[in-house]
Amino acid sequence: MSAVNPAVAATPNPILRRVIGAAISLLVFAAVIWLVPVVSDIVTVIIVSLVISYALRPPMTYLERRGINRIVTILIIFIAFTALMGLAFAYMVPILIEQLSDFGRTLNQLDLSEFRQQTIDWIGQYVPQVVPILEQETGEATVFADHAKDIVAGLLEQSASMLAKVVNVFSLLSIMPILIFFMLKDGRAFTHAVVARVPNRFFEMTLSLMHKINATIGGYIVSVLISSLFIGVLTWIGLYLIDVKYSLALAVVSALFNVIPFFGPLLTMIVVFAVILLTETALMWPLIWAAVLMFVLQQVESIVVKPMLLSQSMSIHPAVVILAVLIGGRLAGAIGMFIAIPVYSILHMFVVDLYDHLKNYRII
Amino acid sequence: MSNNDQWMAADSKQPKPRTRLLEWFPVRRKRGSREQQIHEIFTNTPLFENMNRQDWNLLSNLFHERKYVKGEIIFEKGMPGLGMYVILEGDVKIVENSDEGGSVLAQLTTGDFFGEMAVIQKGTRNATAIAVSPCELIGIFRPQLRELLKDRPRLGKLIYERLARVMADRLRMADDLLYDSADSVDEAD
Repeated sequence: MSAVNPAVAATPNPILRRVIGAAISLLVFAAVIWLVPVVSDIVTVIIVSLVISYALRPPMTYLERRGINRIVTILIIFIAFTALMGLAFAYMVPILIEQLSDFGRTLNQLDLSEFRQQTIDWIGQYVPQVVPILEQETGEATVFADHAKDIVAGLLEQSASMLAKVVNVFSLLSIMPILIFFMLKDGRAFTHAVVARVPNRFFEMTLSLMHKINATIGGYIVSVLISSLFIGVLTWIGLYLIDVKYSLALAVVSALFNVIPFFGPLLTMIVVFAVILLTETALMWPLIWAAVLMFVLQQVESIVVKPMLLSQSMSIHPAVVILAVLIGGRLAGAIGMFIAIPVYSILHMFVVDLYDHLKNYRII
Repeated sequence: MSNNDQWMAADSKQPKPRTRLLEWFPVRRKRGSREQQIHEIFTNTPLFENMNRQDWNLLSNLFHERKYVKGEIIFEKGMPGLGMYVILEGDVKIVENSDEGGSVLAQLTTGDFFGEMAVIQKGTRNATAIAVSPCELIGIFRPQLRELLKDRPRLGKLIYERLARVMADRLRMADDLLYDSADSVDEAD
């Protein structure tokens, strides 16, 4: 009782549709980023549990397809996941804390004005004419750097207060495994129960929408996690091999930046270069090797990893990326900047799918 | 004796300790008879006949039970089609469109199914389905059958093969009707 109707696929004005879609998604995104910490810690726990359950679904489906009972499957995945996390934390967290505190000490000991004077003197030996210009310009740059330092300090302070909330959330950690267990075990039954209460008129639309959103968000979360893990691990190995200091901390930063399209790799490169400039004495080769490493990793990720993941990658306009990151930073500090793009992407998928469904089922 | 008759005969016997116990849990008893009724109707359709218990349990997890009042539209021409419906109780008519004067394409009753093309192909409905009397339907939908095909390939393949067979039969019938009407036009000429 069905036939393909090409009119449904056609959209009257795709550019206007994209602009309106992005604007609505940005508004919803700002509201969510602002509301989540305000509403309750429990919401955060539910969201974190949901993300973990999405990440654990592919191995669960894999085992279930091999005829293993669902409860046994979940138990196997729980044990494996807990063991992996335990190992990662036991091995990585002490190194990470040591590297971060060491880097903090290095930064405190660093005298930027002395470094500035040394650089100007060095340039003055070869091009003495530019010294007065450099002294004036770098003086202004120092003022700018102070401003930048204030902004970074502000962002970190906001993040700290948000982190305090997250730490508070950790007291609720005990309920997270239970939540994840039931999300994995009864996820489908829950969808079934929700759809059963929807009036007949909206029933097929709701079912289709829930399925679409579930598939897109699940695919997105899994592809982002795997791609960030890939970038993080290989950056760590690469930087360790070329003997750059704080390789683990830099790998964590690169994995986090990886979620930001266009600017993520660039920001990673800036941070890595800054660390090399501040900590290494022989600059040339570490800089060249780090640049080669970053370039190769990005190419491998975009040519090999992303197509293999069949990710529900969505094209976000660079301007929207900047806006989302700025809104995230303004409302939730540095953490907000990191989670901005994943949260925006998920909300955008939701808004677009909801609009398409309401339109196709002639509700709007 | 059909399964349903056996079920009713068993019900009319003197209450045994187990049935007395079940009286304490009327919901469970009702559910059991309901499952029996659904199972019986489904096993009489060409899509779901001769299924083993395990396959039936997996498949019944995908079912969505819906109730419609007399005159209510189940789906409408031009809307996206998501799946098919099996009639558990009541009558359904398939019409060209929901207007009063629209021609009736089919009258369906308990055990019949409709909307099966939407299970195979993504697209819009090309007819409207309306409940003629209060109806109880079971809906089975494309996204879940696709998942079944991935998760349990043997069972998924079986359902899709049977669907293909039903569609081929219906296509053959439509061809025959077309040839008949072409012949009658030729004769009239």
